[in-house]
Amino acid sequence: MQGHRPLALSDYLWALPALILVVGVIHAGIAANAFYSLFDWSGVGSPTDFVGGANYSKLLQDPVFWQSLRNTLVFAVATVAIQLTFGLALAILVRTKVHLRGLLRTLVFVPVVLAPAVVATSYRILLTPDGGFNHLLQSLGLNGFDQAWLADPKTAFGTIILINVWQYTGYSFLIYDAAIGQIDRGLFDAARIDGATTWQLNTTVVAPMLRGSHLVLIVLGFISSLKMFDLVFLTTGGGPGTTTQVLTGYIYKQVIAQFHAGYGAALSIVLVLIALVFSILQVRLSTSESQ
Amino acid sequence: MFQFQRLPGRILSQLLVLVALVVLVVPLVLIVKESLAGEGISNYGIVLSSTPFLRFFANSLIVSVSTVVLVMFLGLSASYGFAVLRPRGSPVGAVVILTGLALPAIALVVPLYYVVQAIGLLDTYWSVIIPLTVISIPFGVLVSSNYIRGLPAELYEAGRLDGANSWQFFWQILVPICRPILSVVAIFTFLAAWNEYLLPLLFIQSTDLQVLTQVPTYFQSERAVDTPKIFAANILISVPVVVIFIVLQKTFRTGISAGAVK
Repeated sequence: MQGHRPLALSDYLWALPALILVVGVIHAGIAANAFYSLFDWSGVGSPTDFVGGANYSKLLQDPVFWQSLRNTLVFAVATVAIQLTFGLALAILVRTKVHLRGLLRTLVFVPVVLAPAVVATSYRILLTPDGGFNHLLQSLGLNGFDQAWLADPKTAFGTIILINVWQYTGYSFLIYDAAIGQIDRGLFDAARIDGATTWQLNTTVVAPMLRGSHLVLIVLGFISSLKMFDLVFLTTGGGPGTTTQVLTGYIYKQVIAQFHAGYGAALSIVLVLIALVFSILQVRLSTSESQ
Repeated sequence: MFQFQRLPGRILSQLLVLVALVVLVVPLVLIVKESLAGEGISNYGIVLSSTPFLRFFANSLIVSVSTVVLVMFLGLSASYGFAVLRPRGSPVGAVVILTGLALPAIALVVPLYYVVQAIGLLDTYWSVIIPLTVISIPFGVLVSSNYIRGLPAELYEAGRLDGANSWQFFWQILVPICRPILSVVAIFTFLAAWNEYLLPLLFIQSTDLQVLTQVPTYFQSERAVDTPKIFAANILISVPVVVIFIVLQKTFRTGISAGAVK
């Protein structure tokens, strides 16, 4: 496909609709954010109250911003670490001769296709102090363990992380399951003949061969953590106080609930910059994988 | 693969599988149980008859199908330009599109809200379809162009020799060959669109246009928190995607692992 062809203007037309939409919404949107972030603006009417970099210096001193950023990061690290571990463990388990592995394969993925809005509203009600989950614990005689799961600042964020783990471990499982299916079985037999234990087999043969899957899941896990909005918004709304607030939720709160569109635009720029890093990582990863 | 476990290992594996199943199933069972509280099975009937549930369902379908069709076409046609025709500047064009890959829609909420209001799109399907499509295009372009680059080059030469112009080549040769990757794009985009919560929350106000993900909150506002109805609604919302998943399980599995790695 390297041959020189006469330059045809029509060759440009194929990418044009996608380019116009992406530039018109994403790039123009980011530029508009940068512009609006220089104003003290409610989002209604035209922005007139120019404040320069004031929104950004306010942001640096805003403890809720830092808390949201920290929560987003903690959420990403915790969900990625737990979901990868559980997903890999289950993917290895379904390769043993256990019963019910077919059921597990199907069932583990069911939560993945559910809407986060459905999962979040369901858990919010199940996890109230008087909700279904605590009733279950009591009926099992585990009275001491009932909690105001989402209402107590000590447990709220951890609970949100675990809800995400429940919903999305199936995704990691599926990626690992597909990758393990690709590993040459001869390797296992060879390692077995050399006398490797199951643990050694997993740590020295399986885990390293899944390097590509680990990387993909880490990058995608961080990206979805960055995008996560529904789960926090519909369980705690960022509370109690601001203990479970994340960047997306904080932007929503500033822009939509409090009419701080200028400040919200400055917050959005921070989110754009972080997202950009992960866009680059995902592109690099996917082009190196496919070569 | 690990078939030659010894007895203690097998018992341990079985035990872990059972624990995993219990953890997965218990919340689902609790959701079903709550949906049957109070008026029992008629909770479902009430949700279907006393709310515009079917209207919401149709709206979700309209928004999701439009978005999927747009993203499949726009993603593949851009990839055709970038990976096959490659006019000067193609790499720049690709970079411009791919920068949006990880961008959360909420990062654009300020300009979107302003523009949607200004051009009168508030409370239309387009106010949800356009941002959803745009946010999904980078993924469509990434996986489609990677897929096209992996195809044998002779294919294009053959098309050229046959004298097909680019329009014919695209529809008659590229689209059929790209069916596997188009189904990947379709699965990801459909799930994202069907499950989208934020954009309809922001831009759709009239009940006639509302989508399914807004139903649980509909029950909280309309009739002071009617818990069993919320759960019944949540199950009704979820049944279509779960059924589609179970029926098309194989396509889903290969599609999702291909979409992640490609």
